[in-house]
Amino acid sequence: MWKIIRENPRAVLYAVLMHLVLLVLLVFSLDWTPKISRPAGVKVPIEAKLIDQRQLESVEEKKKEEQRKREAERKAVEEKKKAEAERKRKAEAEAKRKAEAEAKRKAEAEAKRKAEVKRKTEAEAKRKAEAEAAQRREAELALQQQLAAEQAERDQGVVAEYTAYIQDKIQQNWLKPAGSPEGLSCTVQVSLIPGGDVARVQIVRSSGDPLFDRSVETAVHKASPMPLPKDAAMFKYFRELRLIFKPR
Amino acid sequence: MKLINGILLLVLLAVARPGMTALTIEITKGMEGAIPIAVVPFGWSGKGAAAPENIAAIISSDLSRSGRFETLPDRDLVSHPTDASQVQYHNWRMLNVDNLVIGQIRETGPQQYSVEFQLFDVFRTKRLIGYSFPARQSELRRVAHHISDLIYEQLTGEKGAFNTQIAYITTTGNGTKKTYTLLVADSDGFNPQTILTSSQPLMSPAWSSDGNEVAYVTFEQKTAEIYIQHVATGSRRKVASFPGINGAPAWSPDGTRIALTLSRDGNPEIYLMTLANKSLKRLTNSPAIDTEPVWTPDGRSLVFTSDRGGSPQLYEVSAGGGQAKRLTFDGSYNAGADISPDGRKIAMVHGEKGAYRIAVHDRETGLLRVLTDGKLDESPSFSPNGSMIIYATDAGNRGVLAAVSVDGRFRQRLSLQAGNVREPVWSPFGRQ
Repeated sequence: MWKIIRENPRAVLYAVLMHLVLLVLLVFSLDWTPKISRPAGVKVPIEAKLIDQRQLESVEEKKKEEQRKREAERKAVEEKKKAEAERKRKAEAEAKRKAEAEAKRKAEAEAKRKAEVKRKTEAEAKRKAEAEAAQRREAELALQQQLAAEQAERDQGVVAEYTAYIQDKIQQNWLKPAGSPEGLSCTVQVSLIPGGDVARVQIVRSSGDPLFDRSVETAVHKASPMPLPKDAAMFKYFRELRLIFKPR
Repeated sequence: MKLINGILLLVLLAVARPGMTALTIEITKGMEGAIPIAVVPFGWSGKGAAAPENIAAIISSDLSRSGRFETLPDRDLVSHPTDASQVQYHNWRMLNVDNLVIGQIRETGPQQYSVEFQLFDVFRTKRLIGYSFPARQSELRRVAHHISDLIYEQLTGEKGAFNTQIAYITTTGNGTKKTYTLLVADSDGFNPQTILTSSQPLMSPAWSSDGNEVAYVTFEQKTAEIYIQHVATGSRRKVASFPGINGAPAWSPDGTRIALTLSRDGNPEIYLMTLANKSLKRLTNSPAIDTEPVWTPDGRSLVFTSDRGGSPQLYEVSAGGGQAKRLTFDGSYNAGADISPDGRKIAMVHGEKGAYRIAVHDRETGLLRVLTDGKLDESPSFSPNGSMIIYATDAGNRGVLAAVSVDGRFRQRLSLQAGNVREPVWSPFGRQ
């Protein structure tokens, strides 16, 4: 402790002085007012009662001096504070402006980026959707084609089957005229109605032999109704028949 | 396989473009057989319950006998139209008959009738022909045969031969009391008319090419002689009475000559006689038996039977003479030739393994086809349209008339004749 005092006499002196001042202040303040929080000497006049004029004057002087000093200090501090505050405010404002600008820029950039991403995503999605749709369409088309091909194949089989039935039925009903010359051939166009009944027989190429032609017409009529597939959709293949009578 | 491919291809084409092209089907095979036909009993308007002749039955029988038609039995007739307005085609379609014959007989006076008929195409729903004929009662059968001819020609394209006649010989009685009769009957065996009766054998009747006369061999004078008799008037003349055999007369197509068998030079040979002056020309010269000559339709050559080769076979020789050429080689016995009107076929009695049957030799292919299955069939004779052959067949120790279609498909005995029937010969068209 002594060591510190010896090394720092000035500081000790200041400290003692400061203590004294504080002691005085403390004594006065006891008389003044309990309202410490109220700023001294601004609005409320202090009424001295138990102090004599001189004392009072000197104290007053001192007090004034101190007050001025304090005032000055306070002002300086205030000024400084103010300046500081101003600086700070400016800096803050600047910072804020900067931040806001930055934020705005960032926001804009983000928005832009987002928009770009969105656009890209959407484009991608669209492209993908389109590709998928195209693929689906293609697949569907292929399926349809395959189905059509399969149907055609089935139809073909059925048509071939019933062609054979029709051929057989006509052959069973065709009485070739005995003794007609060899090499005769007669072609007829036959219209069927659903159910297989013969609606019309037309000779499109005569054999030149009336008996042969007549036997052909009779054969077609006798074979009526022609055997047709049960599926009505198949009738389209059999609506018109071209029959070539050509004995071998 | 080719056919299947063909069909498949056609089917493919059709499937590939439905609606664009009609499905094409080739019909390469047909049935061979009789044409189904319905002959409805004819309507009758006149005195009495029924017409004097069943015209429809005669027509039916004619058409069936030809082998070219299959007639619907009366019990299957669904209706009995006698008039075109009553014909309902679908009824007949259901019975699967191709053609329909209807008709009426009206009595127009004493023994006077009018016969009309109509022929319909059932599937094409058309009337094909229709005629009306006046007839006395005795002519009704002939009118019926004439109708058969018209139908036959309309539906087969060939001339009908129903309204023709057949000549044949019958023998009745037995032992020493035998009677020989030469008859002429309708082609169906009905309506037989006696041309000649004799207690001595009658043989080998032959029609003149115009159908008005018949030549035959008779033993009336105990020896064989050849006569020619006019069928309608009965007048006759002797044309050959040479020593020995006078047999097998055959008229030339032009009617001016007959071929015959004579043995006046010692051995049976074929001769040609010009009827105008009875001059003879010897055609064959062999130590064997040459007989049964028949003319080819062009009159240029004759076919006859000879056993010069060891067994009876058919030979052909030019009408101008020369070398005979053997025609038949199948079997041990081929005799009694008749040549079809178109000259393409030769009918004969073909003997093999003890059975004698009617066979036809195709001159183009040289093939022989046996048509009958009797034990003792004889004397084949072509109908003038060449579609049928009449012959005599053994039915329990007596001969009866029978007819077979040239394709052998239809064979039928004709109406039962009295006695033992032999040597039927079919008349030419001329006699009507």
